[in-house]
Amino acid sequence: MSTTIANLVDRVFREYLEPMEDVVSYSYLTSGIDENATTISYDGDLFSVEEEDALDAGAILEVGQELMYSKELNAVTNEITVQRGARGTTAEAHSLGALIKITPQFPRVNVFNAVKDQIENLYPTLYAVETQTISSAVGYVALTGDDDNRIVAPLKAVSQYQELDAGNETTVQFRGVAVELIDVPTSITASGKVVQFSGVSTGVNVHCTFKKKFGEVSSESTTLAEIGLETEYEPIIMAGVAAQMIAGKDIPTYTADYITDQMQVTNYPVNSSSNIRNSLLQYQQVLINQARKDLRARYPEPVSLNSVVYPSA
Amino acid sequence: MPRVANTSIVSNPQRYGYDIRLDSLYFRTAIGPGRAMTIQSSDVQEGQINVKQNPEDFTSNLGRIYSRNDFRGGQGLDTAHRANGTPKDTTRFWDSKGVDIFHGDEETSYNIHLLYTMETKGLTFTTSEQYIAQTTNGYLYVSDGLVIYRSTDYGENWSTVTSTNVSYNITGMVAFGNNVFVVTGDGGTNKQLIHFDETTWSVESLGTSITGYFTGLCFVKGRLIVTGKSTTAEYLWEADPYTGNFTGVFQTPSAIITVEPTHSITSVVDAGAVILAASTDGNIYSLKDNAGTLELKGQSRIGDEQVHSIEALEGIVFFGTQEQGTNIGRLYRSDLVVADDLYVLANRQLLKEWDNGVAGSPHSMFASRDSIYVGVRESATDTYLWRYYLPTAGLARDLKVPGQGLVGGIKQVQGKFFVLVQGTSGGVFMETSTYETEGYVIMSAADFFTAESKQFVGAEISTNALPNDTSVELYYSTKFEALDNPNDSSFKLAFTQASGTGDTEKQIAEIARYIVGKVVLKKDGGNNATPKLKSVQFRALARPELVVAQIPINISDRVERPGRKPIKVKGLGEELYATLRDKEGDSVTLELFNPAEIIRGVVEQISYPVQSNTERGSVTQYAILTVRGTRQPVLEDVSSIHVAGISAFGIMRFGA
Repeated sequence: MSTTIANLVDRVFREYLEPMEDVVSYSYLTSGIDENATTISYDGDLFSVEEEDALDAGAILEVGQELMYSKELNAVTNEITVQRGARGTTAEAHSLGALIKITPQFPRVNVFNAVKDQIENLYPTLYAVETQTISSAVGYVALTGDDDNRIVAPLKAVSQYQELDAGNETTVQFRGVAVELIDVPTSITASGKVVQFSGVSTGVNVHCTFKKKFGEVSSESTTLAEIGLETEYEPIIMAGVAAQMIAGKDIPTYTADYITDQMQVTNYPVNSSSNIRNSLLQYQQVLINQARKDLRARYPEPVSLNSVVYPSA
Repeated sequence: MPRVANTSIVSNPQRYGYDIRLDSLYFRTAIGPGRAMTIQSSDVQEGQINVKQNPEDFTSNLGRIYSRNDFRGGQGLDTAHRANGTPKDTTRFWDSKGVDIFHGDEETSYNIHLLYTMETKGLTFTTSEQYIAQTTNGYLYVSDGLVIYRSTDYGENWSTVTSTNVSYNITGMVAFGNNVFVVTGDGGTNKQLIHFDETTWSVESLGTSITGYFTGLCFVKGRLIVTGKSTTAEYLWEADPYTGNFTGVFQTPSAIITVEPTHSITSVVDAGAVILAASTDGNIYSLKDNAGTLELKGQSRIGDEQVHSIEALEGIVFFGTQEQGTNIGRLYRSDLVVADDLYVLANRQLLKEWDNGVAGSPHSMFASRDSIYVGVRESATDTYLWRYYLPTAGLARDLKVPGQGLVGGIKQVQGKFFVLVQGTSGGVFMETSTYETEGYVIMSAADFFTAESKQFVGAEISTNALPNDTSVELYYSTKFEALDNPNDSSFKLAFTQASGTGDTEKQIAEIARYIVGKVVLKKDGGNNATPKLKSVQFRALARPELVVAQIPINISDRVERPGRKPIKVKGLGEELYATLRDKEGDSVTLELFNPAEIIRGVVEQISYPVQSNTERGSVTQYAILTVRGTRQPVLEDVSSIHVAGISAFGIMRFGA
């Protein structure tokens, strides 16, 4: 299971794009560089002579999400003079030990972007769920959380009487209340979202469950929790990314075989390499359907009248 | 500029997926479906084996058979297959003992069998020099110092017949019809010539003679040849035994040959045209009868050797020598030729040399109708007759003489050999009708004209039906030097045949260049019979000498390192092909990492680049490398015993 987007990207490489026995030629930086350095040094022991020769002027190499043009190779000192931030990537600092890949077929930045796209595209089919405890008031209550702008609809609201403290469980009472999510100008509240309850006294805690869009992935360090992505959605993302990455490409036999094997493990056999992408998408769709059923099971569609969500119970 | 990986920049080639090493260069193979690597043994070149030299000795049956069914060519051939061999090689072997390889005189089909033993005939000696004479009536006379023994029953019984007239040690004795002449000498100035007419000993009157003593006596061409020595010289005279007048014969002016007093005339023989007299001064003198008188007609020099014995048969002269200052004895044969009006020995050939630490030069010879027999002391304890067989010019060890010492005389009595061995450990010995208990023949080392190891797979002998209590054992050794020692521990018993005729191949399993066979004939029990061997053979299969390796070498720009995605290096394929092509015709070491093979040979061919487009995957360009060579021992992983130098020296490679 992944914690961060970086973990998820690695998992895509590991489980779909780069079989263990068919990895891109790689080495690592033997000293850290900042974003302005034009010479990188590498460990030559990990390259064969030919791989090293492939690093000569004109080659594209990758460190992290940054692509670089090789301008000159010194195979004696194991140094390469490079043009930083090639092909629209951003020159960044890289630490000692960072992986160097030669002419990667699936640049990491592309995979990262694909992960980002896939997460964004999951909505509205799938969505994040968040429960907030809001104190009822006369009139509306503004939602002021940093990412409350991603809230798209209430699923249910339950008022709680009595404190939910230890020893008081038998006295606690929950009662459904009607809730209405209202989009308001951001001049009223930054999130542009307020709620209004019906059938509950002022000052009572109301547990509101909202349907939310997934959060925006800004970098590989973004955690899945931050964007509201549940870990069981990872296979959906990975299948989608794999399908997106191999679309229209002549993928190596090794990779095709590897993906085929992976699919067969999940009982979605692939008849030929040309069908791999379609199969991946079908597989993804199945996963999505399962996830939707799970969402519906946990969060049945509420009764809604004139945008007011009434308690289902 | 793409580089071709080599040993100076890559120390652990297998880690980077290189498959072969060609000298210092590493390459990747392009082995795949339809692009197989093959390493095949090169066919054995049947036609290259020279069968002309030993025409009957090879068959093209399964493998090759080294066989021998005739040993009359004699001993002394160590290598059966020589580039400069002769047709006689097929009948030769290396060594024998106790076996009659010339098949004696029996009128039966050829085989080899045990020789007869010799037994002592009862005489023991008290001095170091003895002489023997055999008279026409078959009586045998043997002298020992002042004593003369006589046997009138072919050596069975002996009686002393010496007269008190023999005053000095006898130095020579010769038969003259039924009479006997002896000469004596005291090593100073006293000497006698004594005539024995079977009943009376008569000391002949010498008249004026040298101040010295007699040293030897022979009877050739109807005259006595007498030798004597003074402080001035050693002399050779002729004397007439028919007139019995020896007065004034033995004077210095009448000597036919005069040599330094430090040398001796050792042997005199009638060689037909001339009489030959051998001397320790290294000369063989030719004496020709000129109007009834002998005169010196040439001499032949045998450099640095003392001539101790001489015999002639069918115009061929044999003589035995001892090298000056050593114990090395030699037997030569030569031809008597006329040069101008001189008679000299030419075409001298060394037949055999003995260097066994004892003075073993041939001291006595005997000429039969077809053979020359030579008495040789081979060691302090072993004395043998050696036989030179004229029809085949073969030499082999013959009867074993029980006495220990120099052979002083060889006679034949009723078809049996009678031998005098000089010295207090000697005696007189006669051939019996009892076979030796054991004898052997060591064959020449067979190698089938090739220096490569062969797989020897079978051994077989063929015999006459073996009598009771006899057997034949066949041994073999793959150690060439085992030739020199019949008791070498490397001889393995292939089988023992105790009955029947053999003719069944027994399996052996030896891989070696040479095989040395030893056949042992045995008489095991009381039955006086001998096994008779007709032939012996070994079968060998040729082992492949060369292998041909054909390996598709990847010469694509695309590099497929195992475990890594392919990458393209522009111009790499061209560079690889050019480098490979430069190797064509070169002597190289080809090392395959998996399976581990090292082949040393020649790059026979680099094929033109081939383009292969498999159903799946990319286009592959490859060239087929063909190396023809020999397999070498595979590299070992290095362990501490190598580093410490404990193990044998060899090729080793660090890492993998």
